[in-house]
Amino acid sequence: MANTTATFSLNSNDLLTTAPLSISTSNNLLKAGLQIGLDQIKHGVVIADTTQRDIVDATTDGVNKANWIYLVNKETDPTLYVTVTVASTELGRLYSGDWMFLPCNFADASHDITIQASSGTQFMEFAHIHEGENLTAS
Amino acid sequence: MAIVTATIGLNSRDISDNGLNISRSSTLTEAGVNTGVGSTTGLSSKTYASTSAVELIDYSEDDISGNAAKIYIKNTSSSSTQYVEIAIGTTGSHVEIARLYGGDWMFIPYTGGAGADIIATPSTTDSVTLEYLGIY
Repeated sequence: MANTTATFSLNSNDLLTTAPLSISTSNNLLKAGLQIGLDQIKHGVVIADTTQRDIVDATTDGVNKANWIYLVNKETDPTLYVTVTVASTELGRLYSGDWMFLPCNFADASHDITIQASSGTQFMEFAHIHEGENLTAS
Repeated sequence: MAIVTATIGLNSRDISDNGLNISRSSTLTEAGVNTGVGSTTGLSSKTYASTSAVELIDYSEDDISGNAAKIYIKNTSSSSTQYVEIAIGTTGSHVEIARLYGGDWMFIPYTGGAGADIIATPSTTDSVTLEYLGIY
């Protein structure tokens, strides 16, 4: 097992007039239903284009297992975005610089996570910290 | 406009030989422009003691608009075996997108729309509290 920590903070001094907005939290990434740390990871950079493509392919190995997905749109043009879907349901848009962190449960093998660029090609960094993936036979 | 900064850190010394050290901050903006977001639902919490599917965030009633909205949700319990299923849709028909065990949090972009509310379904009837915030 490994010990992996995810920390989050959200801050603003001027969104609210009565008090600053300040949220922070952290958690250890564990196998589903256990106190055992996740020990598998994929991390890299891919290029999204205007075709909807899987960035995480759900498999039966991953059903009811822990799958944490980190995605960031590395572009700098504020008009560009990538649309993220889970199981063919639109989650939202990651505009340039935006990131997301999702504990995806692959309820079944159709729960692929896809990305599709609004225009051209866009660089996306991702990390998939997980359990339960078996290599397939060649 | 306001300046709102969202930061994530992913750190591990032992998940690989070289560990893992990801840090990212982003200033949240409205869709397609460099103008900062200006609205929030505010940080809220709801406690459940049922396994029924319930609306955590109602797209229309919570008035979450724009194409660059973000949603933060945290399961404040400490249980590593009990979870809350998070889905998009309606209480009658929804697609599971995540499971939050005790202490888990998520931060996602949210398009929303009619019939695309955020739905929560606890795994047990034990009391569980979710904290959440929409920003747009």
